Amino acid sequence: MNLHPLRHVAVTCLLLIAFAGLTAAAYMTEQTHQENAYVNSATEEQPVRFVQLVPNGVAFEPTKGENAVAIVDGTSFEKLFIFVSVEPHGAAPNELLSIEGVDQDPRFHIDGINAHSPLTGIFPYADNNAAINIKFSKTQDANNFYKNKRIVVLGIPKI
Amino acid sequence: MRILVLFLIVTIAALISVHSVASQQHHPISQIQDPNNPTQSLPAVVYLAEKQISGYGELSVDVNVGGLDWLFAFVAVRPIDGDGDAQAGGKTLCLKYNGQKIDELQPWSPCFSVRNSNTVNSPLTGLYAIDVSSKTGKKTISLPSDPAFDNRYLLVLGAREADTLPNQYHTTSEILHQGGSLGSSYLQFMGEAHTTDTSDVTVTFDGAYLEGALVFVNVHPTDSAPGDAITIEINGVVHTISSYPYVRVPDTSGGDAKNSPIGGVYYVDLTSENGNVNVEFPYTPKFDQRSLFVFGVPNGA
Repeated sequence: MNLHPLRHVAVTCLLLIAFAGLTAAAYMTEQTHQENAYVNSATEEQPVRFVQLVPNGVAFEPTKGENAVAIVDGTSFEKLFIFVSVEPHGAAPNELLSIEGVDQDPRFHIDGINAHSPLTGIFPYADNNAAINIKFSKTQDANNFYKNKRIVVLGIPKI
Repeated sequence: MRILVLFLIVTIAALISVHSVASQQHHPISQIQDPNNPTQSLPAVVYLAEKQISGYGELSVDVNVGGLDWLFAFVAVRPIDGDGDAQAGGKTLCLKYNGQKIDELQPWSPCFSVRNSNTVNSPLTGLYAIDVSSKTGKKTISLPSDPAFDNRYLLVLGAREADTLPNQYHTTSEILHQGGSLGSSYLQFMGEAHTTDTSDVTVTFDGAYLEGALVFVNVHPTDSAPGDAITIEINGVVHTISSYPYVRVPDTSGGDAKNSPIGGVYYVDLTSENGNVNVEFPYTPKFDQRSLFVFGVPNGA
Protein backbone atom coordinates (compact mmCIF):
# COMPACT_ATOMS: atom_id res chain seq x y z
CA MET A 1 0.00 0.00 0.00
CA ASN A 2 1.43 3.27 -1.11
CA LEU A 3 -0.26 5.63 1.35
CA HIS A 4 0.69 9.06 2.53
CA PRO A 5 2.34 8.89 6.00
CA LEU A 6 -0.53 10.86 7.49
CA ARG A 7 -2.93 8.30 6.12
CA HIS A 8 -0.83 5.59 7.74
CA VAL A 9 -1.32 7.34 11.03
CA ALA A 10 -5.03 7.73 10.41
CA VAL A 11 -5.46 4.08 9.49
CA THR A 12 -3.47 3.00 12.52
CA CYS A 13 -5.64 5.16 14.79
CA LEU A 14 -8.79 3.74 13.27
CA LEU A 15 -7.45 0.24 13.73
CA LEU A 16 -6.71 0.94 17.37
CA ILE A 17 -10.16 2.47 17.94
CA ALA A 18 -11.86 -0.48 16.25
CA PHE A 19 -9.85 -2.96 18.28
CA ALA A 20 -10.55 -1.15 21.53
CA GLY A 21 -14.23 -0.92 20.67
CA LEU A 22 -14.56 -4.57 19.85
CA THR A 23 -12.66 -5.58 22.95
CA ALA A 24 -14.87 -3.38 25.13
CA ALA A 25 -18.00 -4.72 23.47
CA ALA A 26 -16.91 -8.30 23.99
CA TYR A 27 -16.05 -7.65 27.63
CA MET A 28 -19.34 -5.91 28.38
CA THR A 29 -21.31 -8.53 26.52
CA GLU A 30 -19.68 -11.24 28.61
CA GLN A 31 -20.45 -9.32 31.79
CA THR A 32 -24.02 -8.86 30.68
CA HIS A 33 -24.30 -12.53 29.88
CA GLN A 34 -23.08 -13.46 33.32
CA GLU A 35 -25.46 -11.05 35.00
CA ASN A 36 -28.27 -12.35 32.86
CA ALA A 37 -27.64 -15.95 33.63
CA TYR A 38 -27.19 -16.03 37.33
CA VAL A 39 -28.19 -14.62 40.62
CA ASN A 40 -25.61 -15.22 43.28
CA SER A 41 -26.60 -17.86 45.69
CA ALA A 42 -24.85 -18.80 48.87
CA THR A 43 -24.73 -22.44 47.97
CA GLU A 44 -24.59 -22.49 44.22
CA GLU A 45 -25.23 -20.25 41.28
CA GLN A 46 -28.75 -20.50 40.09
CA PRO A 47 -30.65 -18.79 37.30
CA VAL A 48 -32.93 -15.89 38.03
CA ARG A 49 -36.42 -17.25 38.47
CA PHE A 50 -39.20 -14.74 38.30
CA VAL A 51 -42.44 -15.58 40.07
CA GLN A 52 -45.76 -15.09 38.39
CA LEU A 53 -49.41 -15.58 39.04
CA VAL A 54 -50.37 -18.69 37.12
CA PRO A 55 -53.13 -18.06 34.55
CA ASN A 56 -56.53 -18.99 36.00
CA GLY A 57 -54.78 -19.48 39.33
CA VAL A 58 -57.23 -17.51 41.46
CA ALA A 59 -60.45 -18.92 42.89
CA PHE A 60 -62.72 -17.63 45.63
CA GLU A 61 -65.95 -19.03 46.98
CA PRO A 62 -67.57 -17.22 49.90
CA THR A 63 -70.56 -19.51 50.36
CA LYS A 64 -70.71 -22.49 52.66
CA GLY A 65 -71.38 -25.68 50.75
CA GLU A 66 -69.87 -24.35 47.53
CA ASN A 67 -66.36 -25.10 46.42
CA ALA A 68 -63.53 -22.99 45.07
CA VAL A 69 -61.89 -24.52 42.01
CA ALA A 70 -58.80 -23.44 40.11
CA ILE A 71 -57.85 -25.39 37.00
CA VAL A 72 -54.36 -24.45 35.86
CA ASP A 73 -51.99 -25.54 33.11
CA GLY A 74 -48.79 -26.91 34.61
CA THR A 75 -46.98 -27.61 31.36
CA SER A 76 -45.14 -24.29 31.27
CA PHE A 77 -44.10 -24.29 34.90
CA GLU A 78 -41.29 -25.93 36.77
CA LYS A 79 -43.09 -25.62 40.06
CA LEU A 80 -46.30 -24.26 41.50
CA PHE A 81 -46.93 -22.73 44.90
CA ILE A 82 -50.51 -23.12 46.01
CA PHE A 83 -51.70 -20.67 48.66
CA VAL A 84 -55.07 -21.48 50.20
CA SER A 85 -57.16 -20.22 53.05
CA VAL A 86 -60.52 -21.27 54.40
CA GLU A 87 -62.65 -20.23 57.34
CA PRO A 88 -64.30 -22.79 59.57
CA HIS A 89 -67.77 -21.47 60.25
CA GLY A 90 -69.66 -22.04 63.44
CA ALA A 91 -69.06 -25.36 65.07
CA ALA A 92 -66.77 -27.34 62.84
CA PRO A 93 -65.91 -30.24 65.09
CA ASN A 94 -63.87 -33.18 63.93
CA GLU A 95 -63.62 -31.82 60.44
CA LEU A 96 -60.53 -32.36 58.36
CA LEU A 97 -60.24 -30.62 55.04
CA SER A 98 -57.65 -31.26 52.37
CA ILE A 99 -56.95 -29.91 48.93
CA GLU A 100 -57.79 -32.32 46.14
CA GLY A 101 -54.90 -32.85 43.80
CA VAL A 102 -52.43 -31.80 46.48
CA ASP A 103 -51.56 -34.86 48.49
CA GLN A 104 -49.45 -33.16 51.11
CA ASP A 105 -49.54 -32.45 54.78
CA PRO A 106 -50.27 -30.50 56.82
CA ARG A 107 -53.99 -30.50 56.23
CA PHE A 108 -56.57 -28.36 57.93
CA HIS A 109 -57.94 -30.06 60.98
CA ILE A 110 -60.51 -28.73 63.39
CA ASP A 111 -61.03 -31.13 66.23
CA GLY A 112 -63.86 -30.51 68.61
CA ILE A 113 -63.53 -26.76 68.88
CA ASN A 114 -65.20 -23.74 67.50
CA ALA A 115 -62.83 -21.79 65.33
CA HIS A 116 -63.51 -18.90 62.99
CA SER A 117 -59.96 -17.90 62.24
CA PRO A 118 -58.89 -18.34 58.65
CA LEU A 119 -56.73 -21.39 58.18
CA THR A 120 -53.96 -20.73 55.73
CA GLY A 121 -51.71 -23.21 53.98
CA ILE A 122 -48.92 -23.18 51.43
CA PHE A 123 -48.34 -26.22 49.28
CA PRO A 124 -45.56 -26.69 46.72
CA TYR A 125 -46.59 -28.72 43.73
CA ALA A 126 -44.90 -29.91 40.55
CA ASP A 127 -46.87 -31.46 37.72
CA ASN A 128 -46.71 -31.19 33.95
CA ASN A 129 -50.42 -31.88 33.59
CA ALA A 130 -52.21 -29.44 31.30
CA ALA A 131 -55.24 -29.32 33.56
CA ILE A 132 -54.34 -29.45 37.24
CA ASN A 133 -57.54 -29.39 39.22
CA ILE A 134 -57.10 -27.65 42.57
CA LYS A 135 -60.08 -27.58 44.87
CA PHE A 136 -61.08 -28.24 48.42
CA SER A 137 -62.35 -31.70 49.22
CA LYS A 138 -66.12 -31.52 49.03
CA THR A 139 -66.54 -34.97 50.50
CA GLN A 140 -64.60 -33.97 53.57
CA ASP A 141 -66.64 -30.81 53.89
CA ALA A 142 -69.85 -32.81 53.70
CA ASN A 143 -71.38 -30.83 56.53
CA ASN A 144 -70.59 -27.53 54.88
CA PHE A 145 -68.71 -26.03 57.78
CA TYR A 146 -66.24 -24.08 55.69
CA LYS A 147 -66.72 -20.78 53.92
CA ASN A 148 -64.58 -18.15 52.21
CA LYS A 149 -62.47 -20.68 50.38
CA ARG A 150 -59.55 -19.03 48.59
CA ILE A 151 -56.98 -20.41 46.20
CA VAL A 152 -54.05 -18.49 44.70
CA VAL A 153 -51.52 -20.32 42.54
CA LEU A 154 -48.10 -18.82 41.90
CA GLY A 155 -45.47 -20.44 39.72
CA ILE A 156 -41.97 -20.24 38.33
CA PRO A 157 -41.90 -20.83 34.56
CA LYS A 158 -39.63 -23.41 33.04
CA ILE A 159 -36.42 -22.00 31.60
CA MET B 1 -9.12 4.11 0.06
CA ARG B 2 -11.04 0.85 0.19
CA ILE B 3 -9.08 -0.14 3.26
CA LEU B 4 -9.97 3.15 4.87
CA VAL B 5 -13.67 2.61 4.15
CA LEU B 6 -13.46 -0.92 5.51
CA PHE B 7 -11.89 0.28 8.72
CA LEU B 8 -14.48 3.01 9.02
CA ILE B 9 -17.24 0.43 8.73
CA VAL B 10 -15.62 -1.80 11.34
CA THR B 11 -15.14 1.14 13.66
CA ILE B 12 -18.72 2.30 13.32
CA ALA B 13 -19.96 -1.24 13.92
CA ALA B 14 -17.82 -1.51 17.03
CA LEU B 15 -19.05 1.82 18.35
CA ILE B 16 -22.64 0.78 17.74
CA SER B 17 -22.02 -2.47 19.63
CA VAL B 18 -20.51 -0.62 22.55
CA HIS B 19 -23.35 1.86 22.60
CA SER B 20 -25.90 -0.91 22.47
CA VAL B 21 -24.41 -2.85 25.36
CA ALA B 22 -23.79 0.30 27.35
CA SER B 23 -27.40 1.29 26.88
CA GLN B 24 -28.48 -2.02 28.36
CA GLN B 25 -26.13 -1.55 31.26
CA HIS B 26 -27.45 1.86 32.09
CA HIS B 27 -31.10 1.26 31.41
CA PRO B 28 -32.88 0.97 34.68
CA ILE B 29 -34.13 -2.59 34.64
CA SER B 30 -37.57 -1.26 35.12
CA GLN B 31 -40.22 -3.82 35.72
CA ILE B 32 -43.35 -1.74 35.82
CA GLN B 33 -42.94 1.99 35.84
CA ASP B 34 -45.28 4.31 37.58
CA PRO B 35 -46.83 6.27 34.71
CA ASN B 36 -46.84 9.38 36.89
CA ASN B 37 -43.22 8.93 37.77
CA PRO B 38 -41.36 7.14 34.96
CA THR B 39 -38.13 7.07 36.90
CA GLN B 40 -39.75 5.05 39.66
CA SER B 41 -39.51 1.35 39.09
CA LEU B 42 -40.66 -1.47 41.29
CA PRO B 43 -38.70 -4.56 42.29
CA ALA B 44 -39.63 -7.86 40.73
CA VAL B 45 -40.45 -10.91 42.82
CA VAL B 46 -37.99 -13.75 42.34
CA TYR B 47 -37.76 -17.30 43.62
CA LEU B 48 -34.80 -17.94 45.91
CA ALA B 49 -35.12 -21.20 47.79
CA GLU B 50 -37.45 -23.69 49.39
CA LYS B 51 -37.28 -26.81 51.47
CA GLN B 52 -39.82 -29.30 52.71
CA ILE B 53 -39.59 -32.16 55.18
CA SER B 54 -42.22 -34.40 56.71
CA GLY B 55 -40.31 -34.74 59.96
CA TYR B 56 -39.39 -32.30 62.69
CA GLY B 57 -35.68 -31.71 62.01
CA GLU B 58 -34.14 -28.32 61.39
CA LEU B 59 -35.23 -26.77 58.15
CA SER B 60 -32.64 -24.39 56.79
CA VAL B 61 -31.87 -22.60 53.53
CA ASP B 62 -29.11 -20.17 52.61
CA VAL B 63 -29.68 -17.21 50.36
CA ASN B 64 -27.41 -14.44 49.18
CA VAL B 65 -29.18 -11.18 49.91
CA GLY B 66 -26.86 -9.03 47.80
CA GLY B 67 -28.93 -7.04 45.33
CA LEU B 68 -32.17 -7.76 47.15
CA ASP B 69 -34.50 -5.26 48.76
CA TRP B 70 -36.65 -7.76 50.62
CA LEU B 71 -36.89 -11.38 51.58
CA PHE B 72 -40.29 -13.01 51.87
CA ALA B 73 -40.43 -16.13 54.01
CA PHE B 74 -43.53 -18.28 53.78
CA VAL B 75 -43.54 -20.87 56.52
CA ALA B 76 -45.93 -23.69 57.38
CA VAL B 77 -45.64 -26.28 60.13
CA ARG B 78 -47.95 -28.75 61.78
CA PRO B 79 -48.23 -28.70 65.57
CA ILE B 80 -48.29 -32.29 66.76
CA ASP B 81 -51.08 -33.80 68.76
CA GLY B 82 -49.14 -36.07 71.06
CA ASP B 83 -47.57 -36.60 74.45
CA GLY B 84 -44.39 -35.37 76.06
CA ASP B 85 -41.91 -33.74 73.73
CA ALA B 86 -44.20 -34.36 70.78
CA GLN B 87 -46.95 -32.26 72.33
CA ALA B 88 -47.12 -28.84 70.73
CA GLY B 89 -49.36 -27.33 73.39
CA GLY B 90 -47.46 -24.76 75.41
CA LYS B 91 -44.55 -24.56 72.99
CA THR B 92 -43.23 -21.86 70.70
CA LEU B 93 -41.37 -22.19 67.43
CA CYS B 94 -39.67 -19.19 65.83
CA LEU B 95 -38.39 -18.68 62.34
CA LYS B 96 -34.77 -17.57 62.51
CA TYR B 97 -32.99 -15.08 60.28
CA ASN B 98 -29.25 -15.63 60.46
CA GLY B 99 -29.61 -17.22 63.87
CA GLN B 100 -31.83 -14.52 65.33
CA LYS B 101 -35.42 -15.21 66.24
CA ILE B 102 -37.80 -13.45 63.93
CA ASP B 103 -39.73 -11.73 66.72
CA GLU B 104 -36.47 -10.40 68.17
CA LEU B 105 -35.36 -9.14 64.80
CA GLN B 106 -38.77 -7.77 63.84
CA PRO B 107 -41.11 -7.31 66.80
CA TRP B 108 -44.09 -7.21 64.45
CA SER B 109 -43.42 -10.79 63.33
CA PRO B 110 -45.01 -13.26 65.74
CA CYS B 111 -43.58 -16.74 66.22
CA PHE B 112 -45.68 -19.87 66.11
CA SER B 113 -46.93 -20.46 69.60
CA VAL B 114 -49.47 -22.95 70.83
CA ARG B 115 -51.42 -22.80 74.05
CA ASN B 116 -51.80 -26.04 75.95
CA SER B 117 -53.89 -28.39 73.94
CA ASN B 118 -53.75 -31.81 72.45
CA THR B 119 -56.00 -31.13 69.53
CA VAL B 120 -54.03 -28.86 67.28
CA ASN B 121 -53.15 -30.25 63.90
CA SER B 122 -53.98 -27.60 61.35
CA PRO B 123 -51.01 -25.95 59.70
CA LEU B 124 -49.63 -22.84 61.31
CA THR B 125 -48.59 -20.38 58.66
CA GLY B 126 -46.33 -17.36 58.84
CA LEU B 127 -45.92 -14.77 56.09
CA TYR B 128 -42.85 -12.68 56.85
CA ALA B 129 -41.24 -9.78 54.99
CA ILE B 130 -37.64 -8.97 55.98
CA ASP B 131 -35.89 -5.78 54.87
CA VAL B 132 -32.46 -6.73 53.52
CA SER B 133 -31.79 -3.63 51.43
CA SER B 134 -28.72 -2.77 53.47
CA LYS B 135 -27.49 -6.34 53.83
CA THR B 136 -25.04 -8.34 51.78
CA GLY B 137 -23.73 -11.88 51.69
CA LYS B 138 -25.11 -15.18 52.80
CA LYS B 139 -27.99 -15.29 55.25
CA THR B 140 -29.59 -18.38 56.70
CA ILE B 141 -33.33 -18.76 57.13
CA SER B 142 -34.17 -21.62 59.44
CA LEU B 143 -36.72 -23.36 61.60
CA PRO B 144 -35.05 -25.07 64.56
CA SER B 145 -35.62 -28.74 65.21
CA ASP B 146 -38.52 -29.46 67.56
CA PRO B 147 -40.36 -32.77 67.82
CA ALA B 148 -43.60 -30.92 68.50
CA PHE B 149 -43.72 -29.40 65.00
CA ASP B 150 -43.44 -31.54 61.90
CA ASN B 151 -44.51 -31.40 58.25
CA ARG B 152 -42.42 -28.30 57.64
CA TYR B 153 -42.28 -26.15 54.57
CA LEU B 154 -40.27 -23.02 53.90
CA LEU B 155 -40.42 -20.93 50.74
CA VAL B 156 -38.18 -17.87 50.33
CA LEU B 157 -38.87 -15.29 47.66
CA GLY B 158 -37.11 -11.98 47.16
CA ALA B 159 -37.64 -8.55 45.68
CA ARG B 160 -34.72 -7.59 43.48
CA GLU B 161 -33.53 -4.04 43.10
CA ALA B 162 -34.22 -2.60 39.69
CA ASP B 163 -30.62 -2.03 38.69
CA THR B 164 -29.53 -5.56 39.50
CA LEU B 165 -32.07 -7.39 37.44
CA PRO B 166 -30.88 -9.41 34.48
CA ASN B 167 -30.46 -7.32 31.41
CA GLN B 168 -32.54 -9.47 29.14
CA TYR B 169 -35.53 -7.97 30.91
CA HIS B 170 -34.52 -4.40 30.45
CA THR B 171 -37.75 -2.83 29.31
CA THR B 172 -41.23 -2.89 30.64
CA SER B 173 -42.63 -4.23 27.41
CA GLU B 174 -40.13 -7.05 27.33
CA ILE B 175 -40.97 -8.08 30.84
CA LEU B 176 -44.63 -7.97 30.06
CA HIS B 177 -43.96 -9.97 26.94
CA GLN B 178 -42.10 -12.61 28.87
CA GLY B 179 -45.00 -12.96 31.21
CA GLY B 180 -47.52 -12.34 28.49
CA SER B 181 -46.28 -15.26 26.49
CA LEU B 182 -47.54 -17.43 29.29
CA GLY B 183 -50.75 -15.51 29.62
CA SER B 184 -49.74 -13.70 32.75
CA SER B 185 -47.04 -11.45 34.10
CA TYR B 186 -44.30 -11.51 36.64
CA LEU B 187 -45.14 -10.30 40.10
CA GLN B 188 -43.99 -6.91 41.32
CA PHE B 189 -43.40 -5.91 44.92
CA MET B 190 -45.78 -3.05 45.65
CA GLY B 191 -45.09 -2.29 49.30
CA GLU B 192 -44.92 -3.38 52.91
CA ALA B 193 -46.12 -1.96 56.20
CA HIS B 194 -46.10 -3.10 59.82
CA THR B 195 -46.52 -1.99 63.39
CA THR B 196 -46.48 -3.19 66.97
CA ASP B 197 -48.51 -0.31 68.35
CA THR B 198 -51.80 1.42 67.60
CA SER B 199 -50.79 3.09 64.36
CA ASP B 200 -52.49 2.14 61.12
CA VAL B 201 -50.80 -0.18 58.69
CA THR B 202 -51.39 1.06 55.17
CA VAL B 203 -49.96 0.36 51.73
CA THR B 204 -51.00 2.54 48.80
CA PHE B 205 -50.03 1.84 45.21
CA ASP B 206 -51.09 2.71 41.68
CA GLY B 207 -53.45 0.08 40.35
CA ALA B 208 -53.75 1.55 36.87
CA TYR B 209 -51.31 -0.87 35.30
CA LEU B 210 -52.22 -3.90 37.35
CA GLU B 211 -54.76 -6.59 36.72
CA GLY B 212 -54.66 -7.72 40.32
CA ALA B 213 -52.82 -7.72 43.60
CA LEU B 214 -51.98 -10.30 46.22
CA VAL B 215 -52.14 -9.13 49.82
CA PHE B 216 -50.33 -11.19 52.45
CA VAL B 217 -51.47 -10.47 56.00
CA ASN B 218 -49.98 -11.49 59.33
CA VAL B 219 -51.51 -10.54 62.67
CA HIS B 220 -51.05 -11.70 66.24
CA PRO B 221 -54.06 -12.06 68.54
CA THR B 222 -53.35 -11.45 72.20
CA ASP B 223 -54.57 -13.78 74.90
CA SER B 224 -57.67 -11.65 75.30
CA ALA B 225 -58.51 -11.66 71.60
CA PRO B 226 -60.74 -14.75 71.48
CA GLY B 227 -64.21 -13.72 70.46
CA ASP B 228 -62.97 -10.58 68.79
CA ALA B 229 -62.13 -9.89 65.18
CA ILE B 230 -59.91 -7.57 63.24
CA THR B 231 -60.66 -6.28 59.77
CA ILE B 232 -58.55 -5.38 56.79
CA GLU B 233 -59.88 -3.15 54.01
CA ILE B 234 -58.53 -3.87 50.54
CA ASN B 235 -59.61 -1.40 47.89
CA GLY B 236 -62.81 -0.67 49.77
CA VAL B 237 -63.71 -4.28 50.51
CA VAL B 238 -63.65 -5.25 54.17
CA HIS B 239 -62.36 -8.68 55.15
CA THR B 240 -62.76 -9.99 58.68
CA ILE B 241 -60.17 -12.02 60.49
CA SER B 242 -61.76 -13.57 63.53
CA SER B 243 -60.09 -15.00 66.56
CA TYR B 244 -62.50 -17.33 68.22
CA PRO B 245 -62.11 -18.79 70.70
CA TYR B 246 -58.38 -19.27 70.30
CA VAL B 247 -56.39 -19.77 67.19
CA ARG B 248 -57.06 -23.42 66.50
CA VAL B 249 -56.59 -24.04 70.19
CA PRO B 250 -59.29 -24.67 72.79
CA ASP B 251 -59.50 -22.41 75.78
CA THR B 252 -58.78 -25.15 78.25
CA SER B 253 -55.66 -24.03 80.01
CA GLY B 254 -53.42 -21.09 80.44
CA GLY B 255 -50.08 -22.22 79.19
CA ASP B 256 -47.11 -19.95 78.96
CA ALA B 257 -47.25 -19.88 75.22
CA LYS B 258 -49.27 -17.23 73.50
CA ASN B 259 -51.03 -17.37 70.17
CA SER B 260 -49.86 -18.09 66.69
CA PRO B 261 -50.19 -15.54 63.93
CA ILE B 262 -53.31 -15.56 61.84
CA GLY B 263 -54.01 -13.88 58.57
CA GLY B 264 -53.99 -15.11 55.06
CA VAL B 265 -53.65 -14.41 51.38
CA TYR B 266 -56.14 -12.17 49.60
CA TYR B 267 -56.45 -11.49 45.88
CA VAL B 268 -58.04 -8.29 44.62
CA ASP B 269 -59.12 -7.83 41.00
CA LEU B 270 -57.88 -4.47 39.64
CA THR B 271 -58.78 -4.84 35.97
CA SER B 272 -61.11 -1.85 36.16
CA GLU B 273 -58.99 0.15 38.56
CA ASN B 274 -57.37 3.33 37.29
CA GLY B 275 -56.12 5.01 40.40
CA ASN B 276 -54.54 4.45 43.75
CA VAL B 277 -55.36 1.28 45.63
CA ASN B 278 -55.38 1.34 49.41
CA VAL B 279 -54.81 -1.58 51.71
CA GLU B 280 -55.65 -0.50 55.24
CA PHE B 281 -55.14 -2.59 58.32
CA PRO B 282 -56.31 -0.35 61.16
CA TYR B 283 -55.61 -0.85 64.83
CA THR B 284 -58.02 -3.04 66.70
CA PRO B 285 -57.71 -3.70 70.43
CA LYS B 286 -56.43 -7.14 71.40
CA PHE B 287 -54.35 -7.54 68.22
CA ASP B 288 -50.84 -6.26 68.79
CA GLN B 289 -48.61 -7.23 65.87
CA ARG B 290 -49.77 -6.40 62.38
CA SER B 291 -47.99 -6.57 59.07
CA LEU B 292 -48.79 -6.90 55.41
CA PHE B 293 -47.08 -6.86 52.04
CA VAL B 294 -48.44 -6.65 48.53
CA PHE B 295 -47.46 -8.23 45.22
CA GLY B 296 -48.86 -6.70 42.04
CA VAL B 297 -49.91 -8.65 38.96
CA PRO B 298 -49.20 -6.44 35.91
CA ASN B 299 -51.56 -6.24 33.00
CA GLY B 300 -50.66 -8.70 30.30
CA ALA B 301 -48.76 -7.51 27.26
